[in-house]
This record gives sequence, C-alpha cells and structure tokens, in this order.
Amino acid sequence: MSSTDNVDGRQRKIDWREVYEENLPRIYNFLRFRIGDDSAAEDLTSSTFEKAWRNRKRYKSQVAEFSTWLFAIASNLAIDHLRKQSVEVELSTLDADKSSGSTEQAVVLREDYLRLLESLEKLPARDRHLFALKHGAGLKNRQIAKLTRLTESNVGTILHRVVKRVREELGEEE
Amino acid sequence: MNTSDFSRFKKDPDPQFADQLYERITSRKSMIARLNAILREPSSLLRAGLLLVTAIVIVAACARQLFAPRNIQIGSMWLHEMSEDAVCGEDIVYPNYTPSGPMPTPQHSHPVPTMISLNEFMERAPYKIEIPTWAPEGFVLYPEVVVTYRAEGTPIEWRNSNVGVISLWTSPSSFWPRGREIRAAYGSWEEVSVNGAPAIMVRGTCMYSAFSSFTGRSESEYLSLHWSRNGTEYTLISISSDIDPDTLIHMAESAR
Repeated sequence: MSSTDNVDGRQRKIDWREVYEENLPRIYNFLRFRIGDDSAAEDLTSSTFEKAWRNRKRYKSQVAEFSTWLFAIASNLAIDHLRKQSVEVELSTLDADKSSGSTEQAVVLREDYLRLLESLEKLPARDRHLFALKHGAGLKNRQIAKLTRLTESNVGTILHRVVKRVREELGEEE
Repeated sequence: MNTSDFSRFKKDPDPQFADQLYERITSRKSMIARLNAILREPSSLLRAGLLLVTAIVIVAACARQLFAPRNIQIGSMWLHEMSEDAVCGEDIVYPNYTPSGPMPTPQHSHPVPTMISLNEFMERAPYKIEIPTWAPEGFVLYPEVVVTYRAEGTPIEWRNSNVGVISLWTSPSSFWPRGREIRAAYGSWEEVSVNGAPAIMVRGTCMYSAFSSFTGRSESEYLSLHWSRNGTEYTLISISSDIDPDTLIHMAESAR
C-alpha cells in the first residue's frame, strides 16, 4: 500500500507498510518510556497510526520527515493522556516482561525497568520527553530538535544532564 | 545497573497487535467506498431493501391513520370528517317514505320526488317541526314541498329572485338512534350554537345529488347548519353565496 506526495512538484511514493514497520517499535517504546504504562502505550500507538492514516493526505514532506510527523502526533497524544491521568501510573501495575529469557533474567530486567521509570518520574516533563525520544524511540538529536523546536545543541545538553541525573538516581554499576 | 545502554529496556510490540493494527487502519475506507461495498453485497442489498419496504409500510400506515376519517360527537350529532371527494359520494335514500308513513329500511335507490303543499306536509308530519320565522331579505317561503324520500327528510324552502335557495331539512331524532351523522370535509366545519344548543356549520363546494335537482347544477357552494331541538333534527342549507354563517344562525334561531 502506498500513496503519493508532492515534493517540489515531483511525486514521491510513500510505502505505508515500510513506514509502519520501521516506526511502530519506535513509537511504541517512546510511549512506554514517556508514560510508563505498557497497556496505555499500546493504545496510544494505535491512536497515533490511526490518526496518521486518516490524515495521510495532509502530510507535507517539505515540512518534516514522515517519522518526525508521526512522533509529533504521538507526543501530543502522550501529553493529552498524561493530562487526563493527572497522576503517573502506579508502577506496581506494570506487567512483567514476557519476552525475556529465564525467569531470573526477567525479574531482574523488570526490576531495573521499574527503577528506571521511578527515576524518570522525578524528571520535569520536558526532560522525560527528550529521554523517551532519545532512548525509547532511538531518534537522533537532530530529529529531536526538529520535533521539540529546540536547537540540536540544546537537545544534546539537556540529554547529557538527564542521563547524568538518572545514573545518579540508579547508581552506575561497574 | 548498567545505565549506558537503556535500549535493553525496549520491547518489541506484540506481533499480533502489530498485524491487527495495520489491518485495521488500512482497511478503513471512505464512506462512499463503504456504501458501494454494501450495495454490491447481495445480502446487504437485500437487507437494505427489506428495511426500505418496512419503512415505507410504516409511514403509509401512519399516514393512513393520520388522514383516516374521524368521528366527532357534537351534541347528539356525529360529525364524520373525511376527504372532500368522500363527501360528494353516494347518498342513502329511503324509498316509499312519506311524512306520515312508517320508516323504511335504508336502501340505495332514487325514486321520483312527489310535491305536496307545505300545509299538508306540516299536518302529516309525525314529529314536531319548528319553522324559521325570519329569512334574509329577498327570500320567500315556498308554499310547496317536495317529498324526496331521503333520510334527511322533506325540505322546506325559501327562494329569492335569483337561483338562491335556503332549505330546511327535518327528521325525527328517533330516526337516528345512534345520533345523526353529518359528513364534512377536513377543515370545512366548525362548532357553533343555535339558541345555546350545540350545532355544526359546514361550508363546501360539493352537494348531495338531491340538491342538484333544484339548482340544475351538479356542484354549488353551500353553507349548512345542523342542530337538534325538541326531538327533531334540523339542517338549514343555503345554496346562495350571499348568505353568511351569522345570517344562517339568526334564521335558525328564529324557528318557532
């Protein structure tokens, strides 16, 4: 499935299957890191792609890359979700990671993940947002800068500070 | 905890969730496309057709009920409200009926009218008849009556120099055990009173066939006033357009 998009008068085809497969895990993990609730992250991931599909004819490639546009949708949905929630999700309600290997590994991974989310909760909303885009979605600083309207330099500085703080909260292991 | 690689906390979306989401969002069609799909599908088309037929039947039934003839009781009379065409329909005629004779069984036939004097009619009538003592200017009481063998009785007439006629039809109330039926088209009637008694005023352009024998016209504008008094049913009909309802009521109230 594809659709066409005008770029400087030339038509460029967007392969929706390719775009979907590339960005689905990134959107999903961004929302997991941002919200801290896997179930809600799944719901918002669905909403993100449904909204993108409905408005696909409005997408202007000369304005932003497609992934940037997707993350803009996901970011807004996350903000709306958190506003409605008003309090962060209880970390104890999180499901265990079923994709891990042994039971012991799964327990350790889950505990570490919960500790990470606890430390992220203490961050200001913007800092957590940037962290989620960088380490959840795997976006580059340049992409994050376009999304957040910060300079690339600012993004780098903030992320460096955030990671340092998270390490201090968790205690870096040798 | 090794914090240099946060990517280990990432998780792949559930494959089933991923496939179902893609299928869901890409299978969404425009409303027109959905409608076309529905119309193309035989079972859906049949279903839509059945729903349409059902809706038409329900609407038709409601319309029929809404515009069905109504029976409204006014005093001892029954006003039968119906379409204008129905008012101009066939009338019930009672053969072999004379003012002094027995009441026959209703039949649909048209015998030849018989003319007798007004005095003879008044003497032979088996019920009390009160005649108006006042008539509009120019109208004169006709000294003869025509026995038409009709359920409404024998008309007493006032005529003017033109073709204007005011007829008084009377019949005993006992002739209508369930109340006299007055037929009127929708919106052509109103409830009035004659000497305080409930009465019905009807205005129309269609007449009973018997009237046409006097006017020579199959259709005329008419104004009719119907009331009951002292065991007698009265109908005062003006076939002249010059008579207004108040004048007719005044004439009726002058009956003694």
